[in-house]
Amino acid sequence: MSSVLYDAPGPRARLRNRVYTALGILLVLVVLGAVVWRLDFAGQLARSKWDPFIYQDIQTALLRAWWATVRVALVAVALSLALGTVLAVLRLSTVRALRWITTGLVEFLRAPPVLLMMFWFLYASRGAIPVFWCAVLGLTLYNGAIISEILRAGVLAVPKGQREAAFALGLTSGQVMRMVLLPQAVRSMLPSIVAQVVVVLKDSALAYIIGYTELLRWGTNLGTEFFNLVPASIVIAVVYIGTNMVIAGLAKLLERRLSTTAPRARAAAAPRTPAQVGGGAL
Amino acid sequence: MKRSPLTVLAATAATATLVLTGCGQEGSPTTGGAAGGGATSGASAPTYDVAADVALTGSPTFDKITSAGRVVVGVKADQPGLGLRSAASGEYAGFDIEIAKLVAASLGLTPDQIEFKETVSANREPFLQQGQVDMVVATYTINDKRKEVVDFAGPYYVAGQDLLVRKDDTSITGPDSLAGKKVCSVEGSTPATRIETEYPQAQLVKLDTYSKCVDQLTANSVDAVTTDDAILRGYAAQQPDALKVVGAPFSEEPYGIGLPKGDTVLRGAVNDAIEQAVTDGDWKAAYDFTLGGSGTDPEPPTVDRY
Amino acid sequence: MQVLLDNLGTFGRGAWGTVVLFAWSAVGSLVLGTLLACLRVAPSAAMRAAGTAYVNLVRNTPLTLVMFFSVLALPQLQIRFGDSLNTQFRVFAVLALVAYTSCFVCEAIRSGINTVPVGQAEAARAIGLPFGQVLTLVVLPQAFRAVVPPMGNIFIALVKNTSVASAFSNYELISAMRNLIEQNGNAVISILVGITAAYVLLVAVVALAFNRLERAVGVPA
Repeated sequence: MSSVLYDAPGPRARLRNRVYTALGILLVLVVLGAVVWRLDFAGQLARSKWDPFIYQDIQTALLRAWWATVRVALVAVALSLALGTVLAVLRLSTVRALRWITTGLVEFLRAPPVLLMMFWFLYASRGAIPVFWCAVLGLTLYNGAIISEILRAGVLAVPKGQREAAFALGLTSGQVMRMVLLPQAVRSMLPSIVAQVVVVLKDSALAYIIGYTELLRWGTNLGTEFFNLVPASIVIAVVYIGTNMVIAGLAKLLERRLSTTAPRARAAAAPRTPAQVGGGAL
Repeated sequence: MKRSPLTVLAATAATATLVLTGCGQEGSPTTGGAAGGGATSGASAPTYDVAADVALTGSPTFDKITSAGRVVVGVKADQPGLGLRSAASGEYAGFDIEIAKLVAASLGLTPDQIEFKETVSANREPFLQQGQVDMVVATYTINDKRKEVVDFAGPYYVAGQDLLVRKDDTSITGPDSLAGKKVCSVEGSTPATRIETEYPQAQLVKLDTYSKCVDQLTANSVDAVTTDDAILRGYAAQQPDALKVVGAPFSEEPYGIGLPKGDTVLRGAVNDAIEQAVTDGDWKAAYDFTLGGSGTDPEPPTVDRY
Repeated sequence: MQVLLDNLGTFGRGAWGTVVLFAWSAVGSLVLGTLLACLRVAPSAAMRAAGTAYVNLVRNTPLTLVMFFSVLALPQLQIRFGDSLNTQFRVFAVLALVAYTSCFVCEAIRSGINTVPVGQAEAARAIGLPFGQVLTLVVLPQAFRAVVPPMGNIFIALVKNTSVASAFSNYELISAMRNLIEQNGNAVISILVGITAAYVLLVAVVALAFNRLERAVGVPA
């Protein structure tokens, strides 16, 4: 709706916009230039610091490290979705005691940092749980709680008539949830869910502290080996950003597929904003 | 402004493939300095005689090792000169690694029967308690509280807290000359606590890895890095033209080999192995090959059979 | 639990560090986030592009890396704050937290702007207000009211994200935990219980504050 915030620009406004644009571009260029100049001055752009990345062995190792990160994230996302669904259903249950217990549980799971949860699994099991699973479980508990909140909001947003109609058809409350409410909740909350996937992918970096070698850890180790910590971090950041943008792109495709609105109506709603993303996306 | 997600996806995928397959130089880059050992010290990789027909009765850990046909050793993966995993090949190298190899040899295991597993400070004890590793050789200081949960063989090296400075810096000669200087160490570590309590006139920076500290040192953001001399020597050996260790240790940190609690038979055998290595020169060869590049010649330790 | 009682000082110092980091970062990201949101709905295409690029870049980078760049790059760019090293690293950490969190604040506010009925902006334009005034006088105040709940979630996450600063010379709860574990390897579980309880308490306070705020100014569903 941003376009309704201002009038269609007239000749003077267009000129002003152009001046702002030029100034903006200039500012960005100056900042970029300063960064590059200082990095160069500090020797961070030296050929030798970037050389390791042109070797195939390093590139395949980078790919393996990337996969280690993605693997944790994939398993954690799958489990979080399962846990989130269960928690959401319980929290919407008609039994008051169940609702209270689940509410308490969700609030509790949201509180401690993910790193702390990983520590819990590592120490409480005295190392019986491999670090991969400590990382996955730590991520799952937290993100499961967040996803349950997202799904619950989605279920509550389904028009009342849907539930009433389903009950009128004689479906049991379990069937209403499974066949009518949840599918619509998942569809409408897809942007938020995907935002959470990105969070999981980034948070998986915490696993290095408990000893799981993923992308970030591999990158800093490489930086230690060739004392090029800054270039290595830049490369790793690019890989993260790229991966997350691909996830966001896939989500948009999926959203378009699942969307029931006609293309025309969608176009009218553009520019689109992921309205619900603010929900738990951190 | 409005690009379809498909285009973005395709572009990203294309870039990724290009980077990963298109323009790769074959093989691995050579490691800078002596991170892996040997490069600057000029020594060749030592080999250790593998003992035959080793039998240790009453050691559950050794029984596990023999039935599995391999020993799992917990090591550091990010300490140059001590335990560093190559980013390209995944192979481990360093003084701790050599110690693990010579101990394994005395237990009758060849180097390819050793499985190295990365441990970090947070998981050394849990790993030993649960048998995820059979022993830990990972800059592991022997102290009484740790002895409550694990056993220690050794020490195989007596480290001491020291200072790493830039090569051209003559103003820092020991902890007493740190007044007003910026000193970097790792959060939560004993060396950091010691600086805080005993040398409060120094300005302490605490990061999460020593590598980041060393980076700050070479970038002139701090004046010294402090921790055990062995760790500092690893960095000095890596960049001998830029860094040096002051060489005035002001604490004693005996590095031990962590073993599962209660396995006294294995502890005795590992202690024997260390003593043997000190006598027959294997210990010296291991040191020269890895930390020797920093230009020092330390005394071999005396094993403490507590 | 003895270990916690013996080290109450360490523990309290850690909790205070977390609170200070949170407070500064919360204020900072609210300001920067609002500015970014304004950029993203601005009439100039370049401004919108700059806002979008910033949000997409920073939001997709792990916070640890954002902080690493802040700590490592800023001194190299000759940007320093104060003489004391502690202050400097605190500022670096707060800057990184602000840079990161403001992306989420921006997105929340932007979705809040979308909830303001179109007629409001149209009416504002009809009486001749320029873009800046449409935004600051009419749309933003209403948008803020709509985004109290998501903002609460963002700030709860911020409480926990301050823990990343422990890796960059900031003393807070996780640093306290690492210190205690290093020195008391035999009482790890008690230490974990204590630290977890501290976070639960801090998060509860923030959640409660936002509940109150929502009741006071929030838009009824």
